[in-house]
Amino acid sequence: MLAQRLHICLLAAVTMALLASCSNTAEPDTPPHLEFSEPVLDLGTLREGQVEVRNTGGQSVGPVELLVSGIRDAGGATVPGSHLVTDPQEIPTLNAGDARVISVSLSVQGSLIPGEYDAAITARGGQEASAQTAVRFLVLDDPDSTVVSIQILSTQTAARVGDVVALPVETQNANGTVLQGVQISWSLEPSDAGYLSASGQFVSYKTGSVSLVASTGLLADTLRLDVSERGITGSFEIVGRAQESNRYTSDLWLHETVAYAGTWGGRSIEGTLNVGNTLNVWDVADPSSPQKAFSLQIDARTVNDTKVRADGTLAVITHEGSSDGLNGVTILDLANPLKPAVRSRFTTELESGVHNVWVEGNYAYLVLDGTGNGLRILDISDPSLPRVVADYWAGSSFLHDVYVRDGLAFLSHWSAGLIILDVGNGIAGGIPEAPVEVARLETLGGQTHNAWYWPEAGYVFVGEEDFATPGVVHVVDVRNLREPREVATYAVPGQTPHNHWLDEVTGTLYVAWYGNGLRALDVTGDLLGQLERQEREIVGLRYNGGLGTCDRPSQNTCAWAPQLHNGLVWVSDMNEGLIALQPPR
Amino acid sequence: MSSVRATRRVAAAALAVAALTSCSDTASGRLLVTSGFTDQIFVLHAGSGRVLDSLNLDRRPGERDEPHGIEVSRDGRYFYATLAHGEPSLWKYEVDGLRLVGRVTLPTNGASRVRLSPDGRVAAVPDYWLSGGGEVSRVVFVRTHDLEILATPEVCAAPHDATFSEDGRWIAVPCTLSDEVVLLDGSDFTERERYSVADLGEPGRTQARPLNAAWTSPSEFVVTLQGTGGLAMLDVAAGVTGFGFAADRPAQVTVSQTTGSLAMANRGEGTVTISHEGSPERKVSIGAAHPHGVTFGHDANIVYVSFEGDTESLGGVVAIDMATGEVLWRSEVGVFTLGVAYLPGAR
Repeated sequence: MLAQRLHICLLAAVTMALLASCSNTAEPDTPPHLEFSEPVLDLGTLREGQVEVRNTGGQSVGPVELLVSGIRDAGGATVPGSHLVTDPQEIPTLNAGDARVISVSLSVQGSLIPGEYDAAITARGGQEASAQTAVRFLVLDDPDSTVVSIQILSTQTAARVGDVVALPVETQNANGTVLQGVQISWSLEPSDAGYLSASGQFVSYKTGSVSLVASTGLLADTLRLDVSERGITGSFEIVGRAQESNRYTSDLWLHETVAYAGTWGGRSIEGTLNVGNTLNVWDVADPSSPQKAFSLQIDARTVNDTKVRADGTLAVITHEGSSDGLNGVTILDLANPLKPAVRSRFTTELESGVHNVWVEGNYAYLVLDGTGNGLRILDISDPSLPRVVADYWAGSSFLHDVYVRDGLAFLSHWSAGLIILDVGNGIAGGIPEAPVEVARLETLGGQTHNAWYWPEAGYVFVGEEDFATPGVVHVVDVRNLREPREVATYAVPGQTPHNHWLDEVTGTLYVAWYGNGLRALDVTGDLLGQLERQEREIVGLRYNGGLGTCDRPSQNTCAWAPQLHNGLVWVSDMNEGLIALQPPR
Repeated sequence: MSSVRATRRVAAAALAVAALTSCSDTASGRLLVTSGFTDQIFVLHAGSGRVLDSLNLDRRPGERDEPHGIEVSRDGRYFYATLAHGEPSLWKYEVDGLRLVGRVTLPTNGASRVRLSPDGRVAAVPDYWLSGGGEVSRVVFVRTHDLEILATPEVCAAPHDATFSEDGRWIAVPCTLSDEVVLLDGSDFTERERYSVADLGEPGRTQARPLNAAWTSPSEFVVTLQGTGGLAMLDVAAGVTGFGFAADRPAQVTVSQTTGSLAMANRGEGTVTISHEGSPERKVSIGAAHPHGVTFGHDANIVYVSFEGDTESLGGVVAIDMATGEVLWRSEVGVFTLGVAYLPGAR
């Protein structure tokens, strides 16, 4: 008995010794622990300040990301176009006991109505450590007001949720003279009824009665508004599926009765890895029963993007991760649209890979894969002998996508934001051979991923592909192209959006939202505030019953990109292929 | 009662075996390889090629971030990896627990290899600006303790490597798009010499495309010429002194300054050139597409070679006996597998 016990103890001791020798550490250090020097950074009426973050744990931690929330007014509504900026935005590493001073400043678009505002900074070191501090600041009334009367000129008494109501205000002095430029304070009751901008625009977030109060000094005027439901309904109906199970599907482009879809990354099927070296061509003459007509394989590990020229004579497809290291683009002859023929491959200055492409007339706008100097403009008037005629890079970060319309190129330039180039519009004298920058908007929170310009309404819808916070769709007012400004956002909890397509006839924005499926959003009328709070979402569809995730090996919904074509919405799904949907309106 | 005792004994024995197995994984060393198309680092058992672990560097799940270079500090406590695409960055890991402890975004257009100074205090990352159209780009020097960027000298067009001499005095920088090799001073990162390698090899080659370097002595080094197809020999004082080791599109090269052994991955022909302790060079077919990275084990008797694979095959690693040329094992791991580093066994 004793011998047996000793034997067990000996085994256990040997085991512990082995484990100890393997682990190679005496005692584990205490884990990293982050702390801010102030639980609340009160800026008062200032617009900048400093706070310190330190690691009081025993192990290094890094990178420490500094995540900022939106700026909220006293009613809790997020103020579009305004946000905190930290410097740095990320601390590479914080060793045990180290501290780092963080500069905090406010980036405010236009002016804010007087009142209290708050925001938060979260310092996050992976999954291991995080800390948060609140930031508060105050906007004061202008004390020099000499107004004796104030009046809201609007006579509107009713609106739907999501309608933007303009609230012009007139102020007069004792002589009855109308005063210009008087600072107006706005408030609403109840305070969570909607969002009021400093320029006097209101959008409601809920039904019921709301009081909108304009004040200056001790004077005030009130407009009462009855807000009714927006009354939007609709649903998607699945019409057909173009199943692709061997490879992950990437972007799509439809022309007439043919759908072209790229493939992405590596998909393991029964122990075999199938990389994204294929362009699939689908005959969609009968959308309820798409037929795969042809598959073209090229030297690439991802064919991320495909675009067909408007006349349908050629297409351009992109190479990433080619075995020969040359990447570039392949130009396809579409004389037989169901069986494209390779016309040429162009690789000069494109060796790092091409991620996205836009074709406009005799020019292809190419986005280099993830390295600087990101845009190349290719003259494809002779598709057999394309040549680079221009390039552009914002000077920082990298270009992710390009959209061209009306002689303007809208560049989604990641951390550098949205950039507008004149490539023939005339506003700044640019041409494809010599693009000229018109404007840039850098305050979109980074990860600027894709854009759609709607000239009729004067908006650009900008996707932010941020997997951490997660990202949103930003609405940018470009009625003055030289001064773009953010006016609204659209968020769906849990995931980041991907590509989108706008039905400009009905004012419906279709957004592929990875695991959150395809969303349809009413974007009619003026846009302001948080669109997801305005009963504007018509329908969201997880057509595979997805789980809100986008696990690529699964069969979950993993929506990549939509396209409205011949009355149907086609969406490419990484896991499934293409799905045709009857739109909700 | 006896059944309980038996269970305990089995459990204790199993624990011991598990401990021994786990210990042997680290005692014989591990390999770290970067998978450029799945945005991962894989950890392999150096004795068998078995995959032990993986780390995810996927900053943008819908995009290719391309982990590229990887290097272990000489004290074996840390390793560093580069992310080449997007906003290029340098990642710092603790070996214990394979724990990420830092990351710094680099002010560059691209990033390729990461090299450490002999004292481990500085990491050098060249801006491999392949799409820069021949514009001059930089090498970034980062203090490893806190990942502060120390210097970003403009060097040449698309530098791919920046490797320190054994004494830390020099840094050799092959410049892929300008057919030059630039020598930087290891103390202040300023330029000391600039050598042309444009006219080596067979006449008619339009571009030499120098790619990677390895020091053979305190004042001599070799550089792979991807375009020319071979190895240039250089001396700090004399410049280019020779050319040899002809091969199709060689990528990385490593040299043991102790034994003189050399290994060079020949990306274009699926072979590795080896020369063990001064023996004549020979080529070994690795049986896989596009060999890329090379690193010796702890004593340069075994060389580990990463291969990229192609659009039909996985990447991976092979282990080759330097004395016999025998392929000891081949492990398919990763897609577009690029960098490889050896992590010594338990300290």
